[in-house]
Amino acid sequence: MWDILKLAGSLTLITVVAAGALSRVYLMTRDRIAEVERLRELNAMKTALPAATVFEPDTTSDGFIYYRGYPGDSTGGEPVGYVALALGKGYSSTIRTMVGVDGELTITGIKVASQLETPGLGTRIEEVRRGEDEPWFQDQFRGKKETALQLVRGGGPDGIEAITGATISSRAVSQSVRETVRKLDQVIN
Amino acid sequence: MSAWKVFIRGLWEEVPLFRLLLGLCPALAVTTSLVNGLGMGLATLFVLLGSNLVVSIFRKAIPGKIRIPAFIVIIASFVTVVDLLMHGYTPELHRALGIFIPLIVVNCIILGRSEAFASRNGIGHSILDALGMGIGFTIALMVLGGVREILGSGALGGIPVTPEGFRPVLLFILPPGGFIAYGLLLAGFNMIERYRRSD
Repeated sequence: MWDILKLAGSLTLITVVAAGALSRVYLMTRDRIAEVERLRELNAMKTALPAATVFEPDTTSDGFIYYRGYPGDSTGGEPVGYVALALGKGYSSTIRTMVGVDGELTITGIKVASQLETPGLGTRIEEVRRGEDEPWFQDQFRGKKETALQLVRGGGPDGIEAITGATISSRAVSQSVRETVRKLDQVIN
Repeated sequence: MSAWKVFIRGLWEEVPLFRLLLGLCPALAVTTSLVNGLGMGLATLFVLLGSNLVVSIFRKAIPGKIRIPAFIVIIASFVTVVDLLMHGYTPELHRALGIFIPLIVVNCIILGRSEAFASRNGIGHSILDALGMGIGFTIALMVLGGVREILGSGALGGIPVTPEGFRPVLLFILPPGGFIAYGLLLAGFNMIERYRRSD
């Protein structure tokens, strides 16, 4: 009986000390992590809508969150475009993609904000080919309308070329981007 | 055992992946490329250093009957610390390794070294043991990752290395290819070891 109490006591002590140490590290890093995530999100929005520098969030009555993008350093006036987050169910994770469109609903860019797909396959939705600066898969979306976002062999102006061995991840991105453009269409018009 | 022997053991004679056959689960899961192997190896090395150090400091205070849960708590804490620090201070690296970092908790090399070494040896030797095992594990992951990257995507460290006309075998960066590449490497290591012994 005494033995059990002693063991339970030691283990409790160890976990309490560990929890204390972890909470200290958490508090130390919390602000930095929040800042890193905020910057990452802002950068993703700027990649999706390069013409804008400030973004103003808004929510529709059914809970869809989107951002109006403005050039210069203040909001107000006519927005140059709109940004929203697309959520697609990939092979092993929810792929979050920032989608930008201009006033005519032409895609100005997309940027995968987070994904946990299969390394070496699904993760190639973010791949930058050697000798190139832009991720080729995401680059295919730029300049396209919602109607040209189907997966098509070879890609081209009328479709998106899927990644070999990662059709599910490719489709998750293209489908979620399509849906998001449709939602933005309802918001704008 | 001399300090040098403690350190160098992890690099060949007891290299975790190929001689002790420990740490296979994370190793096969993440070694789809050289860089992934390196990143996973370094993060593991850091956790191994921390857990070996703490376990060896408190080895006399931890009751034997609950040593395993105690080690797990210590290891999981270090993994969480690494995860938080990398997220805040090296966001790019953290992003690249994202899903691999929590996997370090279930790496049996770390628990294995706590149980087999750090709980029975002094602080100095435990640090050397962690360094040797950690570096050995890192090199082994890089070898496995390198081989799979060359065969599976025709590149090494993201740089194309195979001649024109070589068609990468996608299988090698998929899980079955991990087992096949690992089996072949293991056979190679055993062959080298047999020659070494017979001399």
